[in-house]
Amino acid sequence: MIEISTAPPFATVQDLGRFGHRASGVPVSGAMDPDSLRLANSLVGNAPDAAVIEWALGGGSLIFRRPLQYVVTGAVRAPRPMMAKAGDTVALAPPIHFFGRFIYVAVEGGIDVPLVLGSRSTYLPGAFGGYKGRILRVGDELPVGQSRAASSETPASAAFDSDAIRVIFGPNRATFTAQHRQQFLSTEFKVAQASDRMGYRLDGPPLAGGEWGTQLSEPVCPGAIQITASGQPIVLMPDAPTVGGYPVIGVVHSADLGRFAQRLPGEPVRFVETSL
Amino acid sequence: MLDIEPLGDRALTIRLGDSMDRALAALARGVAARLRAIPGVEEAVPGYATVTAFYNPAATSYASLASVLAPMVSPTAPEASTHAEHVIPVRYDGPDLDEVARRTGLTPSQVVERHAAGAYTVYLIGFVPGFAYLGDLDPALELPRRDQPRTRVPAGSVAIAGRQTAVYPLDTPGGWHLIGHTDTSMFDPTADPPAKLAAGDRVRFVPTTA
Repeated sequence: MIEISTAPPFATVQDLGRFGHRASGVPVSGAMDPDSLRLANSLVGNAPDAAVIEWALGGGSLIFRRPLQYVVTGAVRAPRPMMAKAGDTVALAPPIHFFGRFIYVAVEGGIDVPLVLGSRSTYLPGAFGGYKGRILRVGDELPVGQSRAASSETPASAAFDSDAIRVIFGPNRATFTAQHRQQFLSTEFKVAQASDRMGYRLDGPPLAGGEWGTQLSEPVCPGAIQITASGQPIVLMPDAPTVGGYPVIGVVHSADLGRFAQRLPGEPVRFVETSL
Repeated sequence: MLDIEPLGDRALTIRLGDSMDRALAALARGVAARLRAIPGVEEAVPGYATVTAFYNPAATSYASLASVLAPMVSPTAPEASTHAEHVIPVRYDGPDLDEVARRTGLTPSQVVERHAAGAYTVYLIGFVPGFAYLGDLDPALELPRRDQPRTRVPAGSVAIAGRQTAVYPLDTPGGWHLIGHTDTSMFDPTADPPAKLAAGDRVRFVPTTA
């Protein structure tokens, strides 16, 4: 058991996501930066999909009720597994903005909240999953699962060696012209203030030369880049609805979505085309 | 020529048409059901006139899926599964009922009559978990969405917009016109499947005073 003794403004329990229920309209949810979640789990010997705390917007502290190994990844300088003794209060520094907006706190054994539809991820709009379907608060006591005997391998970094975010064009190619795609690729956007677990709006010159009304709703996914009626893009994130009515110019490659998610409001974003 | 496009590196979308049409929606559901049987396909989700297959790129690929899809999309391919029929009791006391009546030139009781007379089909599920887009609404009740969406629509609200009607499964923001309320639960995360309605199901609304 670990207790939240000082909470940041935004922390939730997340794993790799909730799959298999999109036909019921259930979003996948899960870590905004799954690479950092996987790394955190591997460093404390957990299964890759064990639940961790996704933590943003401030610092805080945890009280450990029993001795456990833990690690912090994501927007930190150097992830290093540490050992907490029973009764230890562990202070967690806020995410370091130079490295991103989320940190991931994994404890040996994983956060053992109940599975809901196959996942421990918190889905705030539906108030289910995670710890009572909500943001973590001071005094919350999180159950911790059994430690695994087996050691796990550090995941190979799949990160693309560039600042640009890879995008696969489609599935509404007929809505956009080659010029639209070219304009999109040549624009340096900035992550807008309006960015959360459902989507990141991008500030920049609106995509010109089209009428981007809504179309008949069709399935979308995290990473899908919708063009709103004003020509402003929104990149859908893990809590986004499963269907959408804005045309999608392209989708961020799944291996780059975590790196994109770590961008703070005001940070620049450029996209580069990639193929399957 | 089948119209297939990638939706990122783990999904593809098959476009079957571009209209809200019961036959097209039925075709989309039939294709989705058959896609689920293909190894490597993890989920298949129908849209109004599209189907999206989510696949495991370690088990299959866009190219190999695209090559096996063509025979599945014959317009004569029957939809295999049968669909549930639901009766949902509604108290027609929504905050927008009078405004809907005024804007459609009907009386409130005529609005209720026309809404409750409809035999609806679930086109697709989305927006939030368990939100079923039902059609087709009586054209006499057709109104655009509200200019100012509400920041909170209570769960159970029965609403209309365009040629569609729906029950809000959760407390969410919403821009549809609220004409009534039901106590029937539309979404339960502890159930499997969690959504009460599935694409293709038939729905009728019955006025109640309880």
